[in-house]
Amino acid sequence: MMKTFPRIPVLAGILMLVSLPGCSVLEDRDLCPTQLLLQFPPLDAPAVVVVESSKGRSVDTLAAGSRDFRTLVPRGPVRVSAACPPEGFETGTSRLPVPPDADCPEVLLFSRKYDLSGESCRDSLGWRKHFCRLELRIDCRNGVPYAFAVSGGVAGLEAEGRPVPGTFRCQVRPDASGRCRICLPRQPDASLMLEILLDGSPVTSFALGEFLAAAGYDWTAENLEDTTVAVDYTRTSLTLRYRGWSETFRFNVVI
Amino acid sequence: MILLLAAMTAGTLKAQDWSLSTNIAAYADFGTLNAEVGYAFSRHWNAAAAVRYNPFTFESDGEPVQSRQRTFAAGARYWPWHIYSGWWLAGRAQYQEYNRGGIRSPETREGERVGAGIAGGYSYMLTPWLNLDLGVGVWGGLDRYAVYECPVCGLTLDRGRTLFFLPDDIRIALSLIF
Repeated sequence: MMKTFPRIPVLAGILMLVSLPGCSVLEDRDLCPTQLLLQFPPLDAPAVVVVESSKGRSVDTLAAGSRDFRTLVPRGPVRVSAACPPEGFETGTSRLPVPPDADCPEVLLFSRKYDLSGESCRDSLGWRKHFCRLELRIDCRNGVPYAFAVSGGVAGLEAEGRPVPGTFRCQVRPDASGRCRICLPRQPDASLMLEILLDGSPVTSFALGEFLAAAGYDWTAENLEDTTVAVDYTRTSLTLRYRGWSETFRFNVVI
Repeated sequence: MILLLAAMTAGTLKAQDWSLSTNIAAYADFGTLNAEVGYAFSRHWNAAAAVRYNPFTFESDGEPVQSRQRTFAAGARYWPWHIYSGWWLAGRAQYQEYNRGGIRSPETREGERVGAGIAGGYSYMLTPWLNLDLGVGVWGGLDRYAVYECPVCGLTLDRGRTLFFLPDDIRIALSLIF
Protein backbone atom coordinates (compact mmCIF):
# COMPACT_ATOMS: atom_id res chain seq x y z
CA MET A 1 0.00 0.00 0.00
CA MET A 2 2.75 2.36 0.91
CA LYS A 3 4.49 1.96 -2.51
CA THR A 4 1.35 3.13 -4.29
CA PHE A 5 0.71 5.99 -1.85
CA PRO A 6 -0.01 9.13 -3.89
CA ARG A 7 3.21 10.87 -2.97
CA ILE A 8 3.26 13.37 -5.84
CA PRO A 9 -0.20 14.91 -5.26
CA VAL A 10 0.36 15.09 -1.53
CA LEU A 11 3.77 16.66 -1.79
CA ALA A 12 2.61 19.00 -4.53
CA GLY A 13 -0.18 20.11 -2.24
CA ILE A 14 2.30 20.79 0.52
CA LEU A 15 4.51 22.74 -1.87
CA MET A 16 1.52 24.83 -2.88
CA LEU A 17 0.86 25.48 0.75
CA VAL A 18 4.49 26.44 1.15
CA SER A 19 4.35 29.00 -1.62
CA LEU A 20 1.33 31.02 -0.48
CA PRO A 21 2.44 34.58 -1.12
CA GLY A 22 -1.03 36.00 -0.73
CA CYS A 23 -1.70 34.51 2.70
CA SER A 24 0.30 36.86 4.88
CA VAL A 25 -0.63 36.81 8.56
CA LEU A 26 0.39 40.44 9.07
CA GLU A 27 -2.46 42.89 9.64
CA ASP A 28 -3.22 45.24 6.76
CA ARG A 29 -3.12 48.53 8.62
CA ASP A 30 -3.32 50.73 5.54
CA LEU A 31 -7.08 50.79 5.97
CA CYS A 32 -6.94 51.79 9.62
CA PRO A 33 -8.25 55.21 10.60
CA THR A 34 -5.91 58.02 11.50
CA GLN A 35 -5.80 59.27 15.06
CA LEU A 36 -6.07 63.03 14.75
CA LEU A 37 -4.71 64.96 17.73
CA LEU A 38 -5.23 68.71 17.66
CA GLN A 39 -3.94 71.13 20.29
CA PHE A 40 -5.79 74.39 20.74
CA PRO A 41 -4.76 77.38 22.84
CA PRO A 42 -6.96 77.09 25.94
CA LEU A 43 -9.82 79.55 26.25
CA ASP A 44 -12.28 80.37 29.00
CA ALA A 45 -15.25 79.25 26.96
CA PRO A 46 -16.20 75.91 25.49
CA ALA A 47 -15.71 75.29 21.79
CA VAL A 48 -17.38 73.19 19.14
CA VAL A 49 -15.30 71.13 16.70
CA VAL A 50 -16.70 69.87 13.41
CA VAL A 51 -14.82 67.15 11.52
CA GLU A 52 -15.78 66.39 7.93
CA SER A 53 -14.39 63.23 6.34
CA SER A 54 -15.40 60.41 4.04
CA LYS A 55 -17.24 58.94 7.05
CA GLY A 56 -19.46 62.03 7.26
CA ARG A 57 -19.63 64.96 9.64
CA SER A 58 -19.07 64.70 13.38
CA VAL A 59 -19.61 67.40 15.97
CA ASP A 60 -17.83 67.40 19.33
CA THR A 61 -17.53 69.84 22.18
CA LEU A 62 -14.29 70.96 23.74
CA ALA A 63 -14.71 71.98 27.39
CA ALA A 64 -13.57 75.40 28.56
CA GLY A 65 -9.86 75.38 29.28
CA SER A 66 -9.23 72.20 27.31
CA ARG A 67 -6.35 72.04 24.90
CA ASP A 68 -6.44 68.59 23.31
CA PHE A 69 -8.94 67.24 20.85
CA ARG A 70 -8.64 63.61 19.69
CA THR A 71 -10.68 61.75 17.16
CA LEU A 72 -10.40 58.83 14.75
CA VAL A 73 -11.01 59.70 11.11
CA PRO A 74 -10.73 57.69 7.90
CA ARG A 75 -7.58 58.30 5.89
CA GLY A 76 -7.86 60.78 3.07
CA PRO A 77 -9.10 64.38 2.93
CA VAL A 78 -10.42 65.77 6.20
CA ARG A 79 -11.64 69.25 7.09
CA VAL A 80 -11.68 70.46 10.70
CA SER A 81 -13.64 73.57 11.73
CA ALA A 82 -14.03 75.00 15.20
CA ALA A 83 -15.75 77.92 16.92
CA CYS A 84 -15.34 79.36 20.38
CA PRO A 85 -17.81 79.99 21.93
CA PRO A 86 -20.13 77.77 19.94
CA GLU A 87 -23.24 79.93 20.20
CA GLY A 88 -24.34 81.10 16.79
CA PHE A 89 -22.04 78.79 14.83
CA GLU A 90 -23.89 76.57 12.38
CA THR A 91 -22.33 73.10 12.62
CA GLY A 92 -24.24 71.87 9.57
CA THR A 93 -22.57 74.37 7.24
CA SER A 94 -19.53 75.40 9.34
CA ARG A 95 -20.62 79.03 9.07
CA LEU A 96 -21.14 81.90 11.50
CA PRO A 97 -24.18 83.88 10.32
CA VAL A 98 -24.78 87.43 11.49
CA PRO A 99 -28.32 87.65 12.90
CA PRO A 100 -30.60 90.19 11.23
CA ASP A 101 -30.42 93.70 12.71
CA ALA A 102 -27.56 92.61 14.97
CA ASP A 103 -23.82 92.85 14.90
CA CYS A 104 -21.37 90.02 14.32
CA PRO A 105 -21.15 87.45 17.14
CA GLU A 106 -17.75 87.60 18.82
CA VAL A 107 -16.77 84.06 17.97
CA LEU A 108 -13.22 82.91 17.35
CA LEU A 109 -12.98 80.56 14.39
CA PHE A 110 -10.59 77.96 13.07
CA SER A 111 -10.51 75.81 9.93
CA ARG A 112 -7.91 73.61 8.29
CA LYS A 113 -7.81 70.84 5.71
CA TYR A 114 -5.70 67.71 5.98
CA ASP A 115 -4.90 64.85 3.66
CA LEU A 116 -4.29 62.03 6.12
CA SER A 117 -2.28 58.98 5.15
CA GLY A 118 -0.54 57.84 8.33
CA GLU A 119 -1.73 56.25 11.55
CA SER A 120 -1.61 59.54 13.46
CA CYS A 121 -1.50 63.24 12.84
CA ARG A 122 -0.67 65.96 15.35
CA ASP A 123 -1.20 69.66 14.79
CA SER A 124 -1.04 72.77 16.94
CA LEU A 125 -3.69 75.29 16.02
CA GLY A 126 -4.47 78.91 16.59
CA TRP A 127 -7.81 80.64 16.89
CA ARG A 128 -8.53 83.37 14.38
CA LYS A 129 -10.39 86.62 15.06
CA HIS A 130 -12.37 87.47 11.96
CA PHE A 131 -14.31 90.33 13.54
CA CYS A 132 -13.54 93.93 14.44
CA ARG A 133 -14.97 95.63 17.51
CA LEU A 134 -15.55 99.14 16.25
CA GLU A 135 -16.02 101.67 19.05
CA LEU A 136 -17.53 104.99 18.12
CA ARG A 137 -16.71 107.79 20.55
CA ILE A 138 -19.01 110.67 20.09
CA ASP A 139 -17.73 114.07 21.12
CA CYS A 140 -20.89 116.10 21.62
CA ARG A 141 -21.67 118.95 23.89
CA ASN A 142 -25.43 119.06 23.89
CA GLY A 143 -26.33 115.41 24.11
CA VAL A 144 -26.72 112.96 21.25
CA PRO A 145 -30.20 112.95 19.77
CA TYR A 146 -29.09 110.59 17.09
CA ALA A 147 -28.47 106.92 16.77
CA PHE A 148 -26.04 105.31 14.37
CA ALA A 149 -26.35 102.38 12.07
CA VAL A 150 -23.62 100.56 10.23
CA SER A 151 -24.54 98.64 7.09
CA GLY A 152 -22.58 96.52 4.68
CA GLY A 153 -22.53 93.53 2.36
CA VAL A 154 -21.32 90.76 4.68
CA ALA A 155 -23.96 88.62 6.39
CA GLY A 156 -21.72 86.00 7.93
CA LEU A 157 -18.35 84.23 7.97
CA GLU A 158 -17.14 80.84 6.78
CA ALA A 159 -15.04 78.92 9.30
CA GLU A 160 -11.95 79.91 7.29
CA GLY A 161 -12.93 83.56 7.78
CA ARG A 162 -14.17 84.11 4.26
CA PRO A 163 -17.02 86.66 4.24
CA VAL A 164 -20.47 85.40 3.28
CA PRO A 165 -22.27 87.94 1.06
CA GLY A 166 -25.55 89.31 2.32
CA THR A 167 -27.23 92.26 4.01
CA PHE A 168 -25.71 93.56 7.23
CA ARG A 169 -27.24 96.36 9.24
CA CYS A 170 -26.91 97.06 12.91
CA GLN A 171 -28.15 100.05 14.86
CA VAL A 172 -26.50 101.38 18.03
CA ARG A 173 -27.18 104.29 20.33
CA PRO A 174 -24.36 106.00 22.22
CA ASP A 175 -24.48 105.79 25.99
CA ALA A 176 -24.33 108.74 28.36
CA SER A 177 -20.59 108.99 27.86
CA GLY A 178 -21.04 109.10 24.11
CA ARG A 179 -19.69 105.65 23.40
CA CYS A 180 -21.15 102.81 21.47
CA ARG A 181 -19.68 99.66 20.07
CA ILE A 182 -20.50 97.50 17.12
CA CYS A 183 -18.85 94.23 16.06
CA LEU A 184 -18.19 94.05 12.33
CA PRO A 185 -17.43 90.88 10.37
CA ARG A 186 -14.37 90.79 8.12
CA GLN A 187 -14.99 92.94 5.06
CA PRO A 188 -13.92 92.11 1.50
CA ASP A 189 -14.13 95.72 0.37
CA ALA A 190 -14.73 99.31 1.53
CA SER A 191 -18.50 99.23 1.30
CA LEU A 192 -19.36 99.86 4.94
CA MET A 193 -21.73 102.78 5.46
CA LEU A 194 -22.35 104.76 8.66
CA GLU A 195 -25.85 106.18 8.91
CA ILE A 196 -27.12 108.95 11.18
CA LEU A 197 -30.58 108.09 12.47
CA LEU A 198 -33.15 110.39 13.95
CA ASP A 199 -36.11 108.69 15.57
CA GLY A 200 -35.13 105.54 13.77
CA SER A 201 -35.07 107.10 10.32
CA PRO A 202 -31.85 107.66 8.39
CA VAL A 203 -30.91 111.28 8.00
CA THR A 204 -27.67 110.91 6.14
CA SER A 205 -24.94 108.38 5.58
CA PHE A 206 -21.16 108.33 5.23
CA ALA A 207 -18.73 105.96 3.60
CA LEU A 208 -17.23 104.49 6.72
CA GLY A 209 -15.53 101.70 4.78
CA GLU A 210 -13.72 104.13 2.50
CA PHE A 211 -12.69 106.19 5.50
CA LEU A 212 -11.22 103.17 7.25
CA ALA A 213 -9.45 102.06 4.06
CA ALA A 214 -7.96 105.51 3.57
CA ALA A 215 -6.89 105.53 7.20
CA GLY A 216 -5.04 102.26 6.71
CA TYR A 217 -7.21 99.69 8.47
CA ASP A 218 -6.21 96.23 7.25
CA TRP A 219 -9.20 93.92 6.67
CA THR A 220 -6.85 91.22 5.35
CA ALA A 221 -4.92 90.73 8.60
CA GLU A 222 -4.92 87.19 9.99
CA ASN A 223 -6.48 88.49 13.23
CA LEU A 224 -8.46 91.70 12.88
CA GLU A 225 -7.64 94.56 15.21
CA ASP A 226 -10.29 96.28 17.30
CA THR A 227 -10.46 99.93 16.53
CA THR A 228 -11.90 103.20 17.75
CA VAL A 229 -13.21 105.98 15.61
CA ALA A 230 -13.77 109.36 17.18
CA VAL A 231 -16.82 111.16 15.94
CA ASP A 232 -16.91 114.90 16.31
CA TYR A 233 -20.54 115.77 15.81
CA THR A 234 -22.10 119.18 15.30
CA ARG A 235 -25.34 120.18 13.75
CA THR A 236 -23.79 120.69 10.35
CA SER A 237 -20.76 118.42 10.21
CA LEU A 238 -19.38 115.13 11.31
CA THR A 239 -15.66 114.47 11.57
CA LEU A 240 -14.24 110.99 11.85
CA ARG A 241 -10.80 110.50 13.36
CA TYR A 242 -8.79 107.28 13.29
CA ARG A 243 -5.08 107.00 14.10
CA GLY A 244 -4.34 110.55 13.15
CA TRP A 245 -6.40 110.36 10.00
CA SER A 246 -9.50 112.52 9.89
CA GLU A 247 -12.22 113.34 7.46
CA THR A 248 -15.06 115.82 7.80
CA PHE A 249 -18.52 115.41 6.30
CA ARG A 250 -20.79 118.40 6.13
CA PHE A 251 -24.55 118.16 6.01
CA ASN A 252 -27.78 119.90 6.76
CA VAL A 253 -30.02 118.48 9.45
CA VAL A 254 -33.57 119.50 10.05
CA ILE A 255 -34.63 118.57 13.55
CA MET B 1 12.30 22.07 -2.35
CA ILE B 2 13.97 21.58 -5.74
CA LEU B 3 15.97 18.69 -4.28
CA LEU B 4 12.78 17.02 -3.05
CA LEU B 5 11.04 17.42 -6.40
CA ALA B 6 14.04 16.01 -8.24
CA ALA B 7 14.16 13.06 -5.91
CA MET B 8 10.47 12.37 -6.42
CA THR B 9 10.94 12.03 -10.17
CA ALA B 10 13.89 9.63 -9.82
CA GLY B 11 13.58 6.28 -11.62
CA THR B 12 13.55 3.80 -8.74
CA LEU B 13 13.20 4.49 -5.06
CA LYS B 14 13.45 2.25 -2.05
CA ALA B 15 10.39 1.86 0.14
CA GLN B 16 10.12 4.03 3.29
CA ASP B 17 12.35 6.80 2.05
CA TRP B 18 9.65 9.42 2.52
CA SER B 19 7.93 10.75 5.57
CA LEU B 20 4.97 13.03 6.03
CA SER B 21 4.26 14.25 9.52
CA THR B 22 2.12 16.65 11.45
CA ASN B 23 2.86 18.01 14.93
CA ILE B 24 -0.09 17.59 17.30
CA ALA B 25 1.49 19.93 19.84
CA ALA B 26 1.40 22.76 17.29
CA TYR B 27 -2.39 22.53 17.06
CA ALA B 28 -2.51 23.47 20.71
CA ASP B 29 -0.90 26.79 19.74
CA PHE B 30 -4.18 28.45 18.67
CA GLY B 31 -4.77 25.74 16.05
CA THR B 32 -1.62 26.10 14.00
CA LEU B 33 -1.79 23.95 10.88
CA ASN B 34 1.49 22.23 10.07
CA ALA B 35 3.12 19.60 7.90
CA GLU B 36 6.61 18.32 7.36
CA VAL B 37 7.98 16.29 4.47
CA GLY B 38 11.16 14.28 4.75
CA TYR B 39 13.25 12.34 2.30
CA ALA B 40 15.94 9.90 3.39
CA PHE B 41 18.96 10.14 1.15
CA SER B 42 21.14 7.82 3.18
CA ARG B 43 20.87 5.36 6.03
CA HIS B 44 21.49 8.04 8.66
CA TRP B 45 20.34 11.25 7.03
CA ASN B 46 17.17 12.73 5.73
CA ALA B 47 16.28 16.14 4.37
CA ALA B 48 13.13 17.82 5.59
CA ALA B 49 10.96 20.77 4.74
CA ALA B 50 8.22 22.06 6.98
CA VAL B 51 5.48 24.64 6.92
CA ARG B 52 3.30 26.02 9.71
CA TYR B 53 0.31 28.24 9.00
CA ASN B 54 -2.06 29.92 11.42
CA PRO B 55 -4.39 32.55 9.95
CA PHE B 56 -6.94 32.37 12.76
CA THR B 57 -8.22 35.12 15.03
CA PHE B 58 -10.34 34.22 18.03
CA GLU B 59 -12.42 36.34 20.37
CA SER B 60 -12.23 36.74 24.12
CA ASP B 61 -14.70 39.10 25.80
CA GLY B 62 -15.35 40.62 22.41
CA GLU B 63 -11.68 41.39 21.81
CA PRO B 64 -9.52 39.67 19.18
CA VAL B 65 -6.96 37.12 20.33
CA GLN B 66 -4.48 35.65 17.92
CA SER B 67 -1.17 33.89 17.50
CA ARG B 68 -0.90 33.94 13.73
CA GLN B 69 2.12 32.71 11.89
CA ARG B 70 3.42 31.56 8.57
CA THR B 71 6.63 29.58 8.95
CA PHE B 72 8.84 27.88 6.39
CA ALA B 73 11.76 25.67 7.37
CA ALA B 74 14.21 23.44 5.56
CA GLY B 75 16.91 21.30 7.06
CA ALA B 76 18.26 17.88 7.74
CA ARG B 77 18.10 15.18 10.42
CA TYR B 78 20.78 12.83 11.58
CA TRP B 79 19.73 9.39 12.86
CA PRO B 80 22.57 7.67 14.77
CA TRP B 81 21.05 4.21 14.39
CA HIS B 82 18.75 4.24 11.34
CA ILE B 83 16.54 6.72 9.56
CA TYR B 84 13.08 7.11 11.06
CA SER B 85 14.09 5.07 14.11
CA GLY B 86 15.21 6.05 17.58
CA TRP B 87 17.17 9.18 18.50
CA TRP B 88 17.62 12.02 16.06
CA LEU B 89 19.28 15.41 15.88
CA ALA B 90 18.12 18.09 13.44
CA GLY B 91 19.24 21.43 12.09
CA ARG B 92 17.28 23.80 9.95
CA ALA B 93 17.00 27.25 8.46
CA GLN B 94 13.73 28.96 9.11
CA TYR B 95 11.68 32.02 8.10
CA GLN B 96 8.66 33.09 10.08
CA GLU B 97 6.04 35.78 9.66
CA TYR B 98 4.11 36.29 12.89
CA ASN B 99 1.30 38.33 14.40
CA ARG B 100 0.60 37.75 18.09
CA GLY B 101 -1.60 39.81 20.36
CA GLY B 102 -4.63 40.13 22.56
CA ILE B 103 -3.50 37.21 24.68
CA ARG B 104 -2.45 38.93 27.92
CA SER B 105 -3.18 42.46 26.74
CA PRO B 106 -4.40 44.13 23.56
CA GLU B 107 -0.78 44.91 22.68
CA THR B 108 0.17 43.13 19.46
CA ARG B 109 3.58 42.27 18.11
CA GLU B 110 4.04 41.36 14.48
CA GLY B 111 6.97 40.98 12.19
CA GLU B 112 9.37 38.63 10.48
CA ARG B 113 12.05 36.37 11.85
CA VAL B 114 14.80 34.62 9.96
CA GLY B 115 17.32 32.33 11.52
CA ALA B 116 18.52 28.86 12.23
CA GLY B 117 17.65 26.25 14.79
CA ILE B 118 18.53 22.88 16.22
CA ALA B 119 16.33 20.20 17.69
CA GLY B 120 16.60 16.73 19.11
CA GLY B 121 14.26 13.93 19.96
CA TYR B 122 13.22 10.31 19.68
CA SER B 123 11.04 8.51 17.20
CA TYR B 124 8.88 5.52 18.29
CA MET B 125 7.63 3.07 15.71
CA LEU B 126 3.91 2.54 16.33
CA THR B 127 3.32 0.48 13.20
CA PRO B 128 5.61 -0.32 10.25
CA TRP B 129 4.40 2.87 8.60
CA LEU B 130 3.49 5.13 11.51
CA ASN B 131 5.87 6.76 14.00
CA LEU B 132 5.37 8.87 17.09
CA ASP B 133 7.95 11.59 16.98
CA LEU B 134 8.93 13.44 20.18
CA GLY B 135 11.33 16.33 20.30
CA VAL B 136 12.21 19.86 21.33
CA GLY B 137 14.25 22.59 19.71
CA VAL B 138 15.42 26.15 19.82
CA TRP B 139 16.12 28.73 17.20
CA GLY B 140 17.65 32.15 16.93
CA GLY B 141 18.30 34.87 14.44
CA LEU B 142 17.08 38.32 13.44
CA ASP B 143 13.64 39.67 14.27
CA ARG B 144 12.21 42.69 12.48
CA TYR B 145 9.19 43.69 14.52
CA ALA B 146 6.53 46.28 15.22
CA VAL B 147 4.40 46.58 18.36
CA TYR B 148 0.91 48.08 18.15
CA GLU B 149 -1.69 49.16 20.68
CA CYS B 150 -4.09 46.43 19.60
CA PRO B 151 -4.52 43.60 17.09
CA VAL B 152 -6.55 45.69 14.65
CA CYS B 153 -5.37 49.25 13.97
CA GLY B 154 -4.02 51.25 16.91
CA LEU B 155 -0.90 53.35 17.14
CA THR B 156 2.61 51.96 16.75
CA LEU B 157 4.24 51.65 20.17
CA ASP B 158 7.60 50.33 19.08
CA ARG B 159 9.41 49.24 15.95
CA GLY B 160 12.85 47.89 15.23
CA ARG B 161 15.20 45.00 14.72
CA THR B 162 16.63 42.72 17.34
CA LEU B 163 18.29 39.37 17.79
CA PHE B 164 16.18 36.62 19.28
CA PHE B 165 16.60 33.16 20.79
CA LEU B 166 13.41 31.19 21.33
CA PRO B 167 12.18 27.67 22.00
CA ASP B 168 10.73 26.10 18.91
CA ASP B 169 9.50 22.89 17.37
CA ILE B 170 8.14 21.21 20.50
CA ARG B 171 7.10 17.98 18.88
CA ILE B 172 4.51 15.38 19.63
CA ALA B 173 4.11 14.40 16.00
CA LEU B 174 2.67 11.58 13.99
CA SER B 175 4.82 10.59 11.01
CA LEU B 176 3.69 8.57 8.05
CA ILE B 177 6.61 6.62 6.61
CA PHE B 178 6.28 5.41 3.06
